Amino acid sequence: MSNDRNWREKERSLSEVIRKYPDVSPFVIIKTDVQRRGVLYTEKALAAVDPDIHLTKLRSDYSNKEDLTPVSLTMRDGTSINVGDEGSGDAHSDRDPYQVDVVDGKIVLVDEGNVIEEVSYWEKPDYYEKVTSRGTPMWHVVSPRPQRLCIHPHQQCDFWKTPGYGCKFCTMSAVYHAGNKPELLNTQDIVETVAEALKEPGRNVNIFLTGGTLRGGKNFLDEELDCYIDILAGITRLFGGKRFPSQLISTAFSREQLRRLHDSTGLASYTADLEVLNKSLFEWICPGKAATIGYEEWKNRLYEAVEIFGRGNVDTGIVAGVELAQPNGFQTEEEALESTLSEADEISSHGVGVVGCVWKVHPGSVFRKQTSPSLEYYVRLARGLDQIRRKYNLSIDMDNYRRCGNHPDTDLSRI
Amino acid sequence: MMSAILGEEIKRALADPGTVRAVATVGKDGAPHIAFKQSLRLRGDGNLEYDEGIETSQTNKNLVYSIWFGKTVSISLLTPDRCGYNIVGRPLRVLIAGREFRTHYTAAREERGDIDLSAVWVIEPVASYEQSFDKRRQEEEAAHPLLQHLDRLTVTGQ
Ligand code: SF4
Repeated sequence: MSNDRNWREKERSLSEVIRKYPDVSPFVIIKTDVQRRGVLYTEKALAAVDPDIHLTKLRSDYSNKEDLTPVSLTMRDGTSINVGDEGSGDAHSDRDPYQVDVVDGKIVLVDEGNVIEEVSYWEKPDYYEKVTSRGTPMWHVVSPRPQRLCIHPHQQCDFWKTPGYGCKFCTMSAVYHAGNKPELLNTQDIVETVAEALKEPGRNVNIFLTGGTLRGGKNFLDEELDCYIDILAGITRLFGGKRFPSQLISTAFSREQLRRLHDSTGLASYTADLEVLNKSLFEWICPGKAATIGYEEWKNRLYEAVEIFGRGNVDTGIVAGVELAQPNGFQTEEEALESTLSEADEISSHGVGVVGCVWKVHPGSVFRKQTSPSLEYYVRLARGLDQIRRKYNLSIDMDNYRRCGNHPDTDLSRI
Repeated sequence: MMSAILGEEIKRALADPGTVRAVATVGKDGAPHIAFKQSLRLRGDGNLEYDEGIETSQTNKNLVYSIWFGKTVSISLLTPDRCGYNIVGRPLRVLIAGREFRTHYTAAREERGDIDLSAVWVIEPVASYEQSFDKRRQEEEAAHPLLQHLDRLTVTGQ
């Protein structure tokens, strides 16, 4: 159930938003709302799940599930809806979730009894039930999206080890403590699993790494850097030492660290997430990042990454909507939109793409009692971010709809 | 329904490897775009499908635009004996991953060597008609008998 029973009366409905923004893909609007509100599966929808074919169990940085609900959904236009990474249904308690049901033999999204759109379940990759030579189940090591292999070597975050330092929307530490995941994955397990996964024809278009911050080492973050270099070096050998479609989201590395990362691996693109495009909100929402690197320096490091990885190969992610968290966030959506897009424009003018994730309010986060913005806000933000990239002729191939699948704005870049 | 939209002659044309297949689409700027898609074929479910090899091709972008905003596309077939057919279709879904996509990906690479496959578009036919000149001329004269040059019709002036 939603926190606020009357939430529907306070914002435009899905169909009203689709009508109001005829230039924005209805598929992307639906995806955005489903990500914002989450889903619940009916019995018929669950009966349509075949665990031999569909992806149900998932262990990743933000997930540790072994039930038989689908991990997530794909729409008819190929758009991914990432509902499963962080749990479904009651994990999205700020508004009523959509239902996934079966109507006329088709799996569909339903809201208030109305069929919204047909969807299908993500499929399981070939490597999933295999084990590494060390006996580790491969699904514990690499988590799949429909076309991406995701590696999360550090499943906890050092910022959560300092009281008050964790990002306020983040559930990584809560998921880690609730389960039986190791804090660090074994590099040999990872490289073996990736090698096995790459045997599947026509599935993967990207290898993606991210995980919690590792603060240690000779210089701040050297431990995190060495961890990624170790893994990436092993994977790079699978590609004959050449650069390959790949993305790393890390804590913002210094110029020297970025240079070492680029020169000693085949990594093709780089991301360091600012999470929120406002200095004082960054300091409130991401206190660990703010205290150790700071907002302006984080941006500088992104600009330095462009010099090293090249234009179009660097972006930064935002948890779209947290800028409206209270009491310190913007008071109106209008204000939030104007400020966020203007800062995104400034960052993009330096060759760094800005991509948004739909903020889901999660029970395991500090922000668990917050309410995410209206659907209309997300639609305007996604449209604005797409327009900014077009203005600067900034390619988003590195983070397009086939890769993360969590960015409505990069879905819009398809046409 | 679908089999009624695609008559036997069109199915024969689709089955003939010598038939030339063109897909005409429109994108967000309204500019029409035609591309030859020789992989266009009939599916078991009565819909059409073709292999899209280029992710950023204009046709691929226009098909995304069409599925998003409910637009139709136009498909032209020209057989080796110069019979022409036109099919109006609606993009129904695009396969970019999963078992079905993998089957097409593997088959395309077996047939054409080291190519990549971006997507398989499934297009639902919603109308079709024969476009051969002789057939169209007969239809035109029957439906619009007033739209002809008179010198062709006189019995004295030949
Ligand atoms: S840096 Fe912030 S968002 Fe990332 S894992 Fe740590 S606490 Fe979570």
